[in-house]
Amino acid sequence: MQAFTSLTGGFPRTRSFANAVRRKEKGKLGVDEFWETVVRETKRSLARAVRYLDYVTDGMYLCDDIFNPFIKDIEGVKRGWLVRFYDNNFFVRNPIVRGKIRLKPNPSTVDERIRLVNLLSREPLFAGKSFRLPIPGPLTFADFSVIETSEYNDNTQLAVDYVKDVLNPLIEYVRGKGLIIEIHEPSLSASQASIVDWNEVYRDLIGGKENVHIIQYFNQPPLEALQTLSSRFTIGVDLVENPSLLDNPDDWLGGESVIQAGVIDARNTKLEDPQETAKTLKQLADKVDAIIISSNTTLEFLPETVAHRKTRLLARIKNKLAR
Amino acid sequence: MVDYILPALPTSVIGSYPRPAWLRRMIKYYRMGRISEDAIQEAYDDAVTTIVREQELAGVDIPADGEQRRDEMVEYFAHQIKGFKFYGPVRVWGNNYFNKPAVVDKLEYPGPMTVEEYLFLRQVSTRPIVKVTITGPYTIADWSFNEYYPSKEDLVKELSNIINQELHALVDHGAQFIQIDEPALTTHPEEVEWAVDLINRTAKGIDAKIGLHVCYSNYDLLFPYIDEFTEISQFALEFANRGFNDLHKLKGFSKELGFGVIDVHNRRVESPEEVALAIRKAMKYVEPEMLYINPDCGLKLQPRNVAKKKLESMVRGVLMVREELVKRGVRSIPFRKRV
Ligand SMILES: [Zn+2]
Repeated sequence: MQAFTSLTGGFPRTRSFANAVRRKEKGKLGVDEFWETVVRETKRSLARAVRYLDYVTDGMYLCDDIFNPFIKDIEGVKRGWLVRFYDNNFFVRNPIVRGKIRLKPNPSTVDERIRLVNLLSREPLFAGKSFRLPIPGPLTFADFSVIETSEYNDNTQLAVDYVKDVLNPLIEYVRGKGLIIEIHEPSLSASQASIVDWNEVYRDLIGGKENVHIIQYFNQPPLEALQTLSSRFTIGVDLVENPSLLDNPDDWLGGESVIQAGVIDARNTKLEDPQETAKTLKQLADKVDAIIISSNTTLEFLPETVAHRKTRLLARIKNKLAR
Repeated sequence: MVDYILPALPTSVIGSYPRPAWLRRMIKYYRMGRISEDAIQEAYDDAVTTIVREQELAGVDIPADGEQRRDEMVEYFAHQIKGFKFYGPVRVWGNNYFNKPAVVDKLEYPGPMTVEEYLFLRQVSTRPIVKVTITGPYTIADWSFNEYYPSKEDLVKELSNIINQELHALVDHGAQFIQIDEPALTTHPEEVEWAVDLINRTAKGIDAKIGLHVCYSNYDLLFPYIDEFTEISQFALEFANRGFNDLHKLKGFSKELGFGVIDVHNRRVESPEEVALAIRKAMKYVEPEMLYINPDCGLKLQPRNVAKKKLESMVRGVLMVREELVKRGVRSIPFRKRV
């Protein structure tokens, strides 16, 4: 079994970065100056973390949350108000669906994120790293959306269109740029599955294990969905919130698999014991071909110093696992 | 036991109030090391004097100190209670950060945390009753990282003991009306049941009126528990922000209601007529003897002049309804410590 480490979602945005964003929004910082700050701050912050990582993201430095500003790239969607992100003390902008949804031909916010990735990947520290681009999953998008159009009667219809007309074109769009799409899908949960037909929604999703990573977290996922999806894509599970998944891996692993194991709690500052965590992961050793060790969800729920410590832990777990 | 008589529909505030611009500057200078500890304490005292006077001039019956000395409602207590550690800020939304504390050791009561605040407020207010606010144990726990206690419930239990000691200290110094703030109460539906027990434990044996403020929350989760809050006499709830919808759910409400009539997230100043209309609507379900009037939540996010105008409008709206109540023979209500 091979082992890798990965950043999932974003990395805590520094205060000075936030100040730069604020000044840009007020028109007090020019575009060039802003970009200088973006690259400098991202490099400074991620440079310390990246040495412990095989997969890295754009840190979501240019994003307020998983929806904003990405939803600006979707036709038929307007940015909504702040709503709680599951049971966290963290708030996101919900998508207001006003018409048929479609990825814009020139997705400018995605382009900006790709530009940042390109600038980073030229840095020696980032050489050889695989970059992932975090994007909301169809069920999560539908779950947070407020439908204000007769175009969609229910969340399933909306999620199906999101796959066909937003995600698939996006996967095509970034494929040529060497990026992996990291689909955040906390709403792929046992309770949500009864409301939305995950099977129908995911049927037409393109891509494969190499370029599509679907990350599920927080809620208890439906095992059947994990099994079906892990036969086609790389799946991430939250073993912090759902440790029982390790009891019967055969119930949810779909054949020759690469699994992302979310073993580091991104919602608590307490540091995990790498020895213990590695021991836990060894239960998967003869079940999967490769394991990606990561936090269960985005590290943005943590203070920056702790996010760094937790990233270092990933590498220590990987080393212990190799032994 | 009835100690005081209040006018019908007593008006109050939830707690926080915008800091005067000069206080914000003084705090900045203090942090830069340019002014002394004595100077900043004097500035805080002056700000409280001003803010309390401002509330009284607006006609508020039960003022608070505007939480002028507190940067943030959880941080303020986590800085004082022993066993907390601060690793740095976390983002809550957009570019807004919160200094989320971590529990890294057994928590210990450090001695009075709000008594000085109360004594100063008591000294500068001309009103017979003033309100002291204190962040509840559940919200402190929910907005902290827990590295030490085996479960969140254990952590909340410890905090409830600590806050209970603080409430005793306040009462020993004469406080009569204390509001426990629990905005996080309904965030995790599966925890509400034990949280209610621990809030009761927090207020156990306290000889004062204990209010509970719960805002921007799922009231459908809260309302079934109202009767079980044996130690709480008043619920200060937010209704303006909800457009005064769902008021029918107040039918049979067994405690006093601190009715939120002012939207604190909107700069538009409500008219007195709107306020009066909302109160009349609430009185369809809650007896006027059980009704206090307040804004939805703390006003600290509003510009100061807007906050002041909102309070003035609130009081004028109340005066309109009071006139109507006089015709029904309702002029005053007793200040009840227990309901
Ligand atoms: Zn509030």
